[in-house]
This record gives sequence, structure tokens and C-alpha cells, in this order.
Amino acid sequence: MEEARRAVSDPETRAVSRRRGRRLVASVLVAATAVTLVLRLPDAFRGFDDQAVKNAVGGAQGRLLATADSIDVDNDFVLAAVNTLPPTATYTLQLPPNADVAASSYGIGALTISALPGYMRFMLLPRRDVAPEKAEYVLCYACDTSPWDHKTSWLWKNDHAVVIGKVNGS
Amino acid sequence: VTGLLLLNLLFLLAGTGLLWGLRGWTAWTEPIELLGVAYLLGLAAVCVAATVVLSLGGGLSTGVVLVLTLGTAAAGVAIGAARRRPVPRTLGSWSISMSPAALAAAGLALLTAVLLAAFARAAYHAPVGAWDAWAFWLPKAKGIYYYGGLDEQLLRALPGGSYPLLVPALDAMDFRFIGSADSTLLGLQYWLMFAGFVFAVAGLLRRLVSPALVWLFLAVAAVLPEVDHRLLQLMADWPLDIFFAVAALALVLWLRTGESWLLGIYGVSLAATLATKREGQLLAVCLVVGALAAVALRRCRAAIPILAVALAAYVVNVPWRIWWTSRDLASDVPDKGIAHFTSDTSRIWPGLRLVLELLFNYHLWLIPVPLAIAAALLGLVSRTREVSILYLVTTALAIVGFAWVIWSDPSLPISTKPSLTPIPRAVGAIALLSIVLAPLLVQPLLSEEASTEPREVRSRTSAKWSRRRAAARRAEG
Repeated sequence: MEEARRAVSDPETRAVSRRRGRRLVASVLVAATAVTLVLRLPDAFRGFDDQAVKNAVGGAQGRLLATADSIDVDNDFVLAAVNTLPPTATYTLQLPPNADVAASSYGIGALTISALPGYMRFMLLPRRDVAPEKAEYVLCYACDTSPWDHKTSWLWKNDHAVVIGKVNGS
Repeated sequence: VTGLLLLNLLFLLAGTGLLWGLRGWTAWTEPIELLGVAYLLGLAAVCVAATVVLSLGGGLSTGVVLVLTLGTAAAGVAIGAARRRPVPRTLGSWSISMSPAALAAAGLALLTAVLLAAFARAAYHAPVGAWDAWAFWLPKAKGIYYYGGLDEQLLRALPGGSYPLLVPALDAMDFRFIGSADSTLLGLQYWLMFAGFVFAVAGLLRRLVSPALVWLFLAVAAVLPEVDHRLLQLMADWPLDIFFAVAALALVLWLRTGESWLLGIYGVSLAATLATKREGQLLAVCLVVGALAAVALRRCRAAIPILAVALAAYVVNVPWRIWWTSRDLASDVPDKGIAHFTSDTSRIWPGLRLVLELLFNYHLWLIPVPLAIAAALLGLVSRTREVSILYLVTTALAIVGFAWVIWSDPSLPISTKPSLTPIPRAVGAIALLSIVLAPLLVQPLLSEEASTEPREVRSRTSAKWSRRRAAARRAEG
């Protein structure tokens, strides 16, 4: 009689203990999630605060030029280009002949050279980046200006071999 | 900021109309509980429609945006009227309890709100930092804003010219309502989308899972290091992950409850997933196959709506595909083609290991992925088998899919550096999927012992949720 009852109850007992086991594991998972949340909270709040402070530094111009800083582009050049070229202008960006020249002669890194065309396109839209022969303006970032000198009025330049000019007759 | 907020109110209006058309309301508390769902639904529907408008040669002027948003709301109202959806007749009620579980839920919801408020401060005037954002996502948006639509010359000049259009379309609409192409305000748009996601998940899960459990995981979502780090980078990754997670959640809830309005949420979110990033195609396939695997054993007929809605979600993205293929823009698949599985077999295992290493990295994602996997494995031998199968198959396929992205393209280095590989961002979809499904996977395990209810009613306080579900079904007609 006792054996027969045990035979019936054993599968049920096993099922109950399996359910209890799963419940225990699930409780541990929830507790681990709660602990993770608590541990992460200070860093999360600090991160939000740091970002808010960073956003406020430098005002609108600082935010505008944050990317230029991150890729080491001359801030004055970016501002001059934005202020000089009319919204409907076409332009070409001229760079040093190669990365070695850029680095050795002007101290311009490879990251800056590779990022500059895309970054200036982003900053200067709706102005269009076109082929050199179709450009109304030339943005020379430590480029060789000799092919342009005879046909360009240089409008802006700084001490870092960065110049902006308008192509004559364009 | 006012313009940006106005645009988002229009999204909310569009989604509210659409949601009423899909399910109706019986009490005024329902639209409030589903506010996040309505907002994300409206945003997704309007943005997908905007990509169609752009692909057909149109622009996104203020008038067009008004037509899209108000038209979506009107379409929802028309559907609701045709289907005789109920309008709210009572105020409804929220049962306020002082039980420990209710207090924990309120505390966690409050904590999430405080976290979101702190996040909003970080989002306000966040400068553009990420390379992909200024290299092509934002120039595309500026192009749409300045040139009045898609500009072929610009798209040819940009990297990723054939990438889907939803994010540039959304940014361009923001620029239109802001009144200038001020990209430092777009952080708020991304924040609004994330906040909408948090409240959408809370709204969708409210009838099936204990609120304390839901808000615990949503608070974790708000502090995920990769969310805090990348949400404001103005790239398409988090919008993709949000749409994908909501699509998956709606599909799972439809499998659980059979409420057909959830298929509408699944469809619109899946269409938005496909319209946001190339990886959306991969994720959509993983989700659909995961859902088919879940229903394969017991109810094959459920496969028909799953596939039909997915097909409809794909169809609305065809105009953009026609646009870029007809202009011979660079393909949206890896350089060697989609079927090139074994270009370099030596990269298969390193690629797979990279995905796993990134996915299980505590410093990126904390613990929701291993937790959800553990709960799903336990669920395979308990009563949540369908959800478990869907989650595990979708996750496994996505892991293999992302590994394939790496191993099939020798130009991508096997590296965990975010600047060298897209995988650290891509696995975010699995992390967010884990966050939204974890409460559904864990809850039945916690309440297993006490529960003796029928299969569909699986939570400890199921009577209350059953009443609410019955009310929703009545509302649905």
C-alpha cells in the first residue's frame, strides 16, 4: 500500500521539486538584475551629468566645432568656410599631395586627411562639393596653391597654410 | 525645441488614431496606458510613409509632414469607424495597492523616470560626435531638407548611399519643424524615441507581467552602458533596435493572447525595422523564422499571419529598393554577395567568437542577455515554451547572422573596437530583445508553483489581467 502510494507520488514530487528549482533560479536571476541595476546607477547618473556639462561648454560654437576638434581640423578654417561661402556655392576641397607631406610639412595627421572631405561636406551643405574644374570656391587645406594662384582671389588665410579663395570668372 | 516637440506630438496624434483603429478604447485609462505604444506606432508609420514619399520623388515640406501625420491619424479613425471600434465611455480606474510588489513597481517606475529625466539633460544640445553620423546619416537628412527630396548627386558622393532612409527622413522632418538644420537638437529626438520605447514596453506588458518585474528591466534598459553611450550619437542603430524589439514583443504578445491589434504593431514596427538599416533585413528574417519555429509544433496556422504581415512590411520598403537599384547605387549586401558564406573559412570561428564576446560583455550590456537565455532555457521545459523557442531561435540566428557579416567581408577586421567593426552596435538588437522578453520569460517561472490556471493565464495575479484582456477583446469587437 505504502509502496503503491509512493509510486504515484514520486513523479508528482519530482515535478514539484523541479518547479521549485526553476522558481529558485528565476528568483536568483531577478535578484542579480536588481543588484546589477543598483551597481550601475552611480556611473549612469555621473555619465548623464558629465554629458550635460560637456554640452554646455563652449556654447553653440563649441558644439558646432566639437567634431572638428575630435578629428583635429582647424576650427578657424571651418568657421571661415561656413561664413565665406554662400549657401548656393559650389566648392572643391584641396588637400596635401599625400599623407607623408601632410604629416611632415604641416603636422596634419592621417585621420584629419581622411575625415576632412566628409566633415566639410556635412558642415557646408547645402553648398555642393564638385569637381575642381566646376568649383566656384576652393578650400585649400595645406594644399599646393600654385595651380590655383593665377585664377583665384584668395579671400581668407591663416598661419597654418589653410586658405579659401574664389575662382575668378566662376 | 518647440518645433521638434510639435512634430513629436503629431507622431503621437497619428499613432493614437491608428491604435484606436486597430483596437478601440473602452476607458480613458487605456490610451494613457498605451501612450508609448501610440507614440512609437505613429512615429514608425509616419517615417515609413515618409521614406515612400521620398522614394517616389516627393519632398518633406511642412505641408507634406502634416498630411502624413494627420492622414495617418485620419486613416486610423476611418478604420476604427468602419470596424465600429468602441470609444471610451468610462474614465476607467487604476487599482492603487500598498502591497510590497505595488510599492516596488512604483519605486522602479519612478527611478526609471528620474533616469530618463537625467538622460534628457544629456540629450539637450549634445554635439555630433560619431563618424557615421556626420559622414552620411546627417548629410542625407540635410540633403532632404535643403534640396527638397532625395538628391542623387549627393547620395552618390556619400558612403552608404543605398542605406535605408528612415533615420534621414526623421531627421529631415525635425530640421523642417526646428526651422534649421541644427543637428545638436536631434539628441532630444533620439531621447524621445527611447522614452517612448520604455513606456511602450510598459504598456504592452502591463496585462501579462507583474509591473515590478517590467519596471525592473526597463530601469536596467535606461542604464545599459551602450544605450547611455550611443543613443545620442545620432546613428541608426538604436532606432533599429527599438523598432525590432517592439516588433518582437508585439509578435510574442500576439502569440500569447491572440489579440489581432498586436499584429498591427508587429507589422508597422517590422516595416520600420526594414526601413532603418540594412541589418533590419537580417533581424526581420531571424524574428520571423524564430516565430515560425515557435508555432511549428502546435499551431502551424499561426504561420500565415506572421508571414503575411512580414511580407506587407517588406512591400512598403520596395519603392526605396527600386529607387537605388535603378540608379546603380552600391549594393546593400556584403561585397561578395549575400550567398557568399565561405569566402574565408578561417574567419568563421573568430567571427562567431567576436559576436559572442561583444554580446556577453558586462561592461557593454550588463546581464540581460545571459539572464534571458537562462530563463528561456528553463522555459523550454515549463509553460513558456513558445516564447522561449522564439527568443532562443531568433537570438541564435542573429548571432550567426552577425558573425556572417564579419566572416564574409575580409575588409572588416576581427576586432572589438567600435571604430573598426559595426558588431558592437549591431548586437544591441539582441540586448534590447532580451530586455523586453525577459519579464515574459521570468514571470511564469516565478509564479509556477502557485499557478494552477489554464495555459494562457500564467501569472500570479492573472485574474486581474484576464479581466483586462477580456475588456480589450470586447473593445476589439
